Amino acid sequence: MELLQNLALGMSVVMTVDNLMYCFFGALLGTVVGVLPGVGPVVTIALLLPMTFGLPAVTAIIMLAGIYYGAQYGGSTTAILMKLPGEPSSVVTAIDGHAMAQKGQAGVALGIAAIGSFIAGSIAALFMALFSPALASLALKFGPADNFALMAFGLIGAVVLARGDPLKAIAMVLTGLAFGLVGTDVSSNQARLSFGFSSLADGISFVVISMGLVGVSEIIANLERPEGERSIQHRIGKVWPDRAAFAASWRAILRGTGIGSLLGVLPGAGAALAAFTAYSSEKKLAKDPSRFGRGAIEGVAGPESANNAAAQTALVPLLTLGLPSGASTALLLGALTIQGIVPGPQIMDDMPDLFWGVIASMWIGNIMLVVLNLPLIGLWVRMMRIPYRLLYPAILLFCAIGVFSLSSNPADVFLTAIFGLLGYVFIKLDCDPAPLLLGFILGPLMEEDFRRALIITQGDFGVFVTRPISATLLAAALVLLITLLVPAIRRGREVAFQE
Amino acid sequence: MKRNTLRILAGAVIAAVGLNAHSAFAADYPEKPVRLIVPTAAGGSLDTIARLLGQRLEATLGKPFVVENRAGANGNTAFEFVAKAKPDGYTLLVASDALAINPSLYQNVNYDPVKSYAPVALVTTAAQVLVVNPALGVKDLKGFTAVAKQKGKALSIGSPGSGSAGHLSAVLYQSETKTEWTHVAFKGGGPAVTNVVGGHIDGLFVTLAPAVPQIKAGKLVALAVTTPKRAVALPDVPAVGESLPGFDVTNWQGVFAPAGTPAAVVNKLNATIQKIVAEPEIQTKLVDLGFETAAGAPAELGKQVQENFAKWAKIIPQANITVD
Amino acid sequence: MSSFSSLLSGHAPSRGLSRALRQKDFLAGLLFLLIGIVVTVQGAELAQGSAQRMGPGYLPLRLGLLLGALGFVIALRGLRGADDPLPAFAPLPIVAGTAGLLGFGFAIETTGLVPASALLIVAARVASWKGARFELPLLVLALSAIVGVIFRYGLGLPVDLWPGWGN
Repeated sequence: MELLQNLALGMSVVMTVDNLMYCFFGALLGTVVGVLPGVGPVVTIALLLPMTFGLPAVTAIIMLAGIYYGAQYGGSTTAILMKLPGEPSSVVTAIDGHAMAQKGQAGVALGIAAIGSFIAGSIAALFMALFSPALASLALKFGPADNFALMAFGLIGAVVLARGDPLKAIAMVLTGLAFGLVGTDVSSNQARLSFGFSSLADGISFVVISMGLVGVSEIIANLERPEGERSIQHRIGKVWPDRAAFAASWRAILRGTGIGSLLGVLPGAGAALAAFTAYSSEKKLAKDPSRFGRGAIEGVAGPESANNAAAQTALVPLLTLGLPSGASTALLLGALTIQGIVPGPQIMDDMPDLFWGVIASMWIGNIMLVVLNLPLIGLWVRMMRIPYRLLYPAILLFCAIGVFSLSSNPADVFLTAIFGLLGYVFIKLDCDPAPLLLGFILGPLMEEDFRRALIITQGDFGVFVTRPISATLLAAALVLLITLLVPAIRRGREVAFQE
Repeated sequence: MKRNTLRILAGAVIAAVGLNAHSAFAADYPEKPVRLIVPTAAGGSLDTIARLLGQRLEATLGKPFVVENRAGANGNTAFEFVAKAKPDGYTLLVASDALAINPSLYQNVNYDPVKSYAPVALVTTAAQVLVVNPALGVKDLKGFTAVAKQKGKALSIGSPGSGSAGHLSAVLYQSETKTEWTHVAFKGGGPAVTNVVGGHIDGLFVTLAPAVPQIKAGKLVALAVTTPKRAVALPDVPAVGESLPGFDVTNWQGVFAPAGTPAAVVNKLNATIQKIVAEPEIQTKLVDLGFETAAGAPAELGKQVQENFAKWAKIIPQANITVD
Repeated sequence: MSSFSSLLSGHAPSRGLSRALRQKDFLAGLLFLLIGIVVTVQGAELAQGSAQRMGPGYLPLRLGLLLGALGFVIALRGLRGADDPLPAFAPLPIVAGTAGLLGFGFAIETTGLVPASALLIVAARVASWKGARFELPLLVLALSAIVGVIFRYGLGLPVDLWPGWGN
């Protein structure tokens, strides 16, 4: 009954006029700003942080958390409508979500994303209420070797999610790894692959590479099509998800929720891995995997649910260990400390009102997001009627400002243009950018953890197989790799023989 | 018609630029928004200090103080940016000891920590704390040194990053006690502390904020702090200097202007910052963040920078830190 | 399309070497090979360390070699595979997508947000001049106003609207 007590406590904290108002304000603001391409939760939270200094601690956190998941939801909207993923988690949403939008099902995609997020958020809140202490200790159990194994597993999963030729997908993953290595090496503090450019000394920002490779390249590709065939179509089609859409996606929503809830707890790559893993597993489980990439609704429902569940469970390590899962949760951490709340193992006992209040607020906030966004879908869909020649300069402009706002560095805008061009070349060459992006996110983290694991054990490779978590994950990765490569090689041979 | 409009516009622009030259009078300062350049990404503790200060400065001086994150090259991007900025008091730097350390860590640093800036005010100082996992079975610094000598490279001590204050504290401690352990660099204090709590590494030198809750929960054993005096937040934890006289790694955070900024502006800012830092509410917030307030005259900050710079210029080359 | 694109894709009867050189997979492999070589060369300049204690160059060097090798295999396979030529590149859309961004990047710090935005929009529209006569000026005005309001005033982004406003 402790669970009910805790949730009741949380509800009593949220259900004040002030807190509900700030929760709504945060979710609304997050959605609105998140929709702007390139402007993600990080910039929004950073700019609005001083506003919360004067608020009571719980209220401030509720509002900032609202911005955080509101912006994520808004980001998905942009990913679906314009194929502009600004967060690692919306890269995969952009794949099938935008394909659905091109088929005139933007409303269905947005609706399923909202509803899936809501269901995932609700289940994750319950999950946290039940298992928070256990989840916190799970995060502690992952040492460098285990983190490495988890990411290796995720990276091989990335090849699964790729369309087309597995060999090219692997090459794209490796290319992503190489881009990820650009910057200063954590262990030695030396600049690598930065070609002497000081702008590259800190590596390439994810927003830059993703906006360029996926977003700008899409604009170029669209412009070369005749006006009538451009991706954003004039016909609207269905605006709301119907019974068939639910029937097709409820399993994906539940699976995504499970995957996201677990991976969200793991710091580092957890949140990004959640969406990618959910997508890969939907594709693996589908009767007809070839639908993926062409507007499969499970390809939106799964990752969106996973991403929202992960965003929520990521609060467990944040609050109990002070361990941020990414840049936006790092800002939440800053906001917490400025409010005099020091995250730590005792936060659940010392400040139950804060802990449970925030969890309850996320649930309430998710309801608000649904209420807010379902009516907005009509508006978004109508926006697709704007002639493309008016829309794309706006998209490019928002991209440019969003990218510039990251660190007031014009070089980031130049890089976006370069990656836009590269992305266009990749489109022409039939190379899917999604595996590259996952390689980009995971590569440097993997290398760091691999090196750490070996530094700690003074060069004993055994650590990867003697630790149970690491051994299991690596074995799973190996099996996945074999199931992937065997058919690919066979297919390659068949092609060769047919020639 | 069109041309006239253009001319008027151009005139207005020139006038606007020209006005700036006269805006250095302290009584009128600030006449327009001031940029607070922060050398780290948003969300770090230095960023939090800057935003806290910015908000109070804005409330006191009546013009926006806008925090601008220019993270890059461990802070060097921001340091160079401010060193080259116009010395009119409208571009300020909120920096930490990295300003004095980086010239010894990196080969190409295009600023001089002493000559490129006019120190405005010291804001806070902070200690590093040496924490270990309870499983190591060490209760005090003496025991730690003994274990370090006995285990040698088998002892793994983390840091929040290569070249960070935590790393440098460890290097200094090793050279003073003639010990040598394995250094494991992490990205940030949070992950490093978690790895000690989880038992993946043995211990680390780290800022107070991420460590104190774990110490209070009994998940970490605090052995010593690196400041000459004990830290307010950890009164029972001795200073390293108590057993190793002269040992001192004090982090500091302060505000700088480009060299050549009028003294009147510097003094006005200094007086305002001193007043802000003395506010009880700000004091508590800074202590919660793991800092101790230390506002003082501009010269105090200048001295701090000079001493730090000289000290690390001596230690870092000896320890050969860049090539780990 | 222009002569530039026909150079890349070719409309001449496909035959022998020139046909092979236009294959998507061959060119993709070549691109990976090139990236692999750059990464290898860069990685080789850094300290290597050993597998037990990797230096900063350990992974880049091996990653570059692996990527290069994979690129080589993909390229070879592309030569032998079914005919799948590279489609034409369209120069105007490329300019539209990138020139505006480059212009914006060069302009933003000196001219401020509004002129930089105008530059981007005009450059972006090279790919489609269609529309009413006043459409472009109106678009420039409307978008500059919108971004100015949203970013400068709404979000308080530290960026000037016009030359010389901030400094």
